[in-house]
Amino acid sequence: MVEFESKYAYSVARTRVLETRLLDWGRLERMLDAADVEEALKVLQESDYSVGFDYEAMLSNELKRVYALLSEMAPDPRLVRMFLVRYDFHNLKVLLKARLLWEGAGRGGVDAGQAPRSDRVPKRALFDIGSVKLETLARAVNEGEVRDLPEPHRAALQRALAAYEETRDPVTIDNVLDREAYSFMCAEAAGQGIDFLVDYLARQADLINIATFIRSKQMGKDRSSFTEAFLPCGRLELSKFLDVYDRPPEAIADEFAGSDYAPIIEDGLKHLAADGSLSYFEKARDIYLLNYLKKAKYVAFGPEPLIGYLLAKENEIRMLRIILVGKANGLTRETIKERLRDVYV
Amino acid sequence: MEVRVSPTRMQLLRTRKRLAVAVRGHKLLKDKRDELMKKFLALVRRNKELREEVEEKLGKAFKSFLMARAVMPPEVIEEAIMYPKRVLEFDATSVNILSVKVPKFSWAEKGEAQESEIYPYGPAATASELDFAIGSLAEVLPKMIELAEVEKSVELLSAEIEKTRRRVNALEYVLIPQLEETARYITMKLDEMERGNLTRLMKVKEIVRERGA
Amino acid sequence: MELTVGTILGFLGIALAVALPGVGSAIGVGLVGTAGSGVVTEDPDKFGQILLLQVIPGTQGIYGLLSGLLLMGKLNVFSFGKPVLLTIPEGALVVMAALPIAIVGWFSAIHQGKVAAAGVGVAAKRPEELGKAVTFAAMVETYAVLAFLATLLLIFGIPIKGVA
Repeated sequence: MVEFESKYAYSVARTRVLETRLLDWGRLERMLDAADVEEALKVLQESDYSVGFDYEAMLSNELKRVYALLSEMAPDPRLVRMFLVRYDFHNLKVLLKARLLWEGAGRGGVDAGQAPRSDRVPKRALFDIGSVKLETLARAVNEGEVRDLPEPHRAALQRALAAYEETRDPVTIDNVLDREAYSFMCAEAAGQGIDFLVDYLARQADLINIATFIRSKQMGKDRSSFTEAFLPCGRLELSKFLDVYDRPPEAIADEFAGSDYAPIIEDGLKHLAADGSLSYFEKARDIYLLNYLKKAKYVAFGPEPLIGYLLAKENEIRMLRIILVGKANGLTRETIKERLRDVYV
Repeated sequence: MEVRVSPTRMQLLRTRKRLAVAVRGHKLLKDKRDELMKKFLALVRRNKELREEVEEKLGKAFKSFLMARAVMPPEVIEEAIMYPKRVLEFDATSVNILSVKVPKFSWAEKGEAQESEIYPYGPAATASELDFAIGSLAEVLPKMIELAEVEKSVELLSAEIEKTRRRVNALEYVLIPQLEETARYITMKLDEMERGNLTRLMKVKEIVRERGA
Repeated sequence: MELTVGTILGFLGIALAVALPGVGSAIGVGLVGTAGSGVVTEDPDKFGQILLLQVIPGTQGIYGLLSGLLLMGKLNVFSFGKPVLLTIPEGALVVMAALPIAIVGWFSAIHQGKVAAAGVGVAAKRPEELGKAVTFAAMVETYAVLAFLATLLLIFGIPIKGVA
């Protein structure tokens, strides 16, 4: 009768306290007003962040801390694990590309002197969080030792390799693994019965697909590369995109005029026409998704508040990176603020 | 100026010959210098143009890249660009401009070149700012190679011009005046000897006439 | 002395009146407690406010016990082994009288527990609005009170003559 409630009572209540510690606009504004990085970091002193000299390390530590915290308090380990799998798939991309680059050097694809050695995978490209140990991933990619690898990872790796064999194109690896990551997330969310997350992922996939559509056209890619990069789980079907692929990007606004995303598309296209940049659309997309996420705050019992908090924290880290990178490179307050998204609190 | 030559007619002839060579060389070198100067100025103008263009484009590329770095985690950017999609073959030879060897770079893409094929990453995880950064970098690459070529040529040419100018000056202000001086000295010396001889002869003639008288 | 079926029914009524609201309250209080520990883990200062929320679903158990005590008095249970011997209709009436608080107490305690556990979130985020969370939880109490009232009136109304 109350199994569901008592399953989530503890973690949701704890999340409520954690939510109060998310950074609000006031604090972000104070960071924006700071003269340099050091001063901006000082604003974070009384927060969850362990402020250090290296802000990238600080941000990645915070990400690690949040995942550890949520893994500890979530009633179902699968809930947090499925978000961690995204990072596994990213690491798979890195390991796979490093290996293929090395092999390619042997075949004369790339100058052997420039290719990284297979045991020297660029460390900076790897996330040090994930659901699977990095060594396990590396063994699977480099030695074909997939015994310890969970099934979704194994299948994804095989598909990525098979696709690469066909195209010999590094983009294929990204595309296949991005698609696999999305399919996995959606299937997992549906399997765990979290409609909220299924819906969120669908919206995210749709909006990413719209951005991909515009970017593909800007880059002059053809239909097949767009189809390759098309993410599953969205509500907007691929065929709809392909119908208008040969028309100018504006056609997409008419095609999806009836959808939820019409205002974002329209605004995005307006800015695209003005300065040729899609970053406004990307910002509007993030804000839209965050607003959808905010609904999770009003759920009393269930996984939603935890998911909301987790993604809100990822958003917060993204915002801090925008501010700190901006401050470190002397961008003006306005330029930085223009890029900032929104806060969850 | 002290001239240490034996003032003989033979030497005078030799000096005159050397002078003639020096004057001809001077003229030739001056022509070369002027020609180098002309080439140099053209290259410098091209260099300036290229440098401005490259700097502007690189500035834009770096700005896009900075924005991409702001909105994406560093891991994602590293992953996106770790596997270059295009392979360039680069070749450096040299060409001769007025006996100055300047570099000539040539490069070609391996495999079929396609405008859309410069982006080595998938779009789902990356921000569109990265497209701009990569796009403008790809656009600026040929210009950068040309700039390297031109800038090195300018450097080599300017060294050559300097050398030539020094030679011209050496000929004009040192060697030629020196040779002229030597010729004049020998001539004067010869004339003096001539006059001394004449005087001596006259004196001998006078003595002989006195004795005879 | 031979026990009657009526007396057995009477005892059943008492058991229902005490047990079901008690179970409900235990579940409700437990739920709020679970949520409360979540908050106290991060913010121990909130303990007092959360305790206030936690006791709210506990009242149904008390109503159940009070109803039970009254019925026990009525059935002369305290006379150590000499309860009133009830006829079957009288026993049935006792069960009926116990039902309102038993059923309503049971469910309302659980639901009140949910409301109060959700209210814990309010205590965590906006401690100054705690009063409102308490009010929401207290609204559920109304129905427990009404049921308790009904049970009381029914108890007073049971005519008991006993088996002659």
